[in-house]
Amino acid sequence: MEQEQKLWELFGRELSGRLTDKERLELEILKKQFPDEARQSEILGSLQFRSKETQDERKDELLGRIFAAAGEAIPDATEYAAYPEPPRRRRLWLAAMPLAAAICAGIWVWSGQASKEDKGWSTVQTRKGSKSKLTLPDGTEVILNAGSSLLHGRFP
Amino acid sequence: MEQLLERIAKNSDQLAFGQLFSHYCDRLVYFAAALLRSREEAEEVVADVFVKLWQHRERLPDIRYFQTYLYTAVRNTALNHQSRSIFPHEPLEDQETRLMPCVVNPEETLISRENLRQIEQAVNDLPLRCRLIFKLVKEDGLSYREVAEVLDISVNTVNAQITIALKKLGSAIDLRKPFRLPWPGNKINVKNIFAAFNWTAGICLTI
Repeated sequence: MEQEQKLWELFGRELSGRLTDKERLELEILKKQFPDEARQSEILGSLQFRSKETQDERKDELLGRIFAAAGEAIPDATEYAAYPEPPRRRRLWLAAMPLAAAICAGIWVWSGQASKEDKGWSTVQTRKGSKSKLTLPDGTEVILNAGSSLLHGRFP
Repeated sequence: MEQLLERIAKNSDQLAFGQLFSHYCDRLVYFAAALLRSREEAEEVVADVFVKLWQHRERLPDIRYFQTYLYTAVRNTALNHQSRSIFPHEPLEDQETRLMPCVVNPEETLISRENLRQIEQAVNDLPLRCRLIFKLVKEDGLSYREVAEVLDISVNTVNAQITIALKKLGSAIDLRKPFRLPWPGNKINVKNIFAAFNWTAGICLTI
């Protein structure tokens, strides 16, 4: 019973990525000794345990509140792209449109990824009836007319 | 990540900050919800943390162990938040701290619907603290040491809790049950289905 416990303990360490070589060896031995538990642990390892996700609209709302609370000029309708993390979301790639200029009420931002290698591309899009001002990563200030999109990122 | 923090610090890049927030939002809200039992309060707490982050953004790249810092900040803010309420929270249903087991690679992992259900039951039957620790290690990728620091407990406690959790979850899997694909029919391109639902290519029990 104690040995079986040890298997789970070592498996836990394996999950956290901190297994010494000695422990790894011990785990292998235990897995042979307890094949059922070994199989169970393999299954557990292959599962993802997901929690309730915050909807994008809600995230945008919160972000807007954060900037507002921090005293930023950009109004709270600001919306931002999801972090381009390969195993997680994939969004539809939005085509870029020509940029126009004016002053703002809200921004919609979508992040698209053509491929997993394409990191750092974002599309900013404004709603109909609202214009937006934002600062690009390189410091450029951009003002987008209503119903426009701006594609920006690192060009190859 | 370092690049992102640099951009935020040096250029006051709001888009980058938005990405940072988006990246950490779900797991931090879960963490705060486990402490506060209310999603609204949890979101408030996480938002408060990010307000301070933005306000002191010039120091962002200097923070060592940024992830640990974030979680600790959320915990501290949550604890302060809690002391404000006069009556302790008694949540009717712990929706906010539920976990849903999902198969990431359906082609590789053969598990029956029944077993998945059992695991879901088992993980949500875990005491909240145990479940939280399990989640932090298994999903959020925190080390035992990080968890210990963030929750202000010993590494031994983390170790013990993880062992308990894994043992309980493991024993929920009945290996005698036949392993079959949890959905009927021939090969379905699951990636497309789940892209439409804005999920990763994985099977979760509700489908």
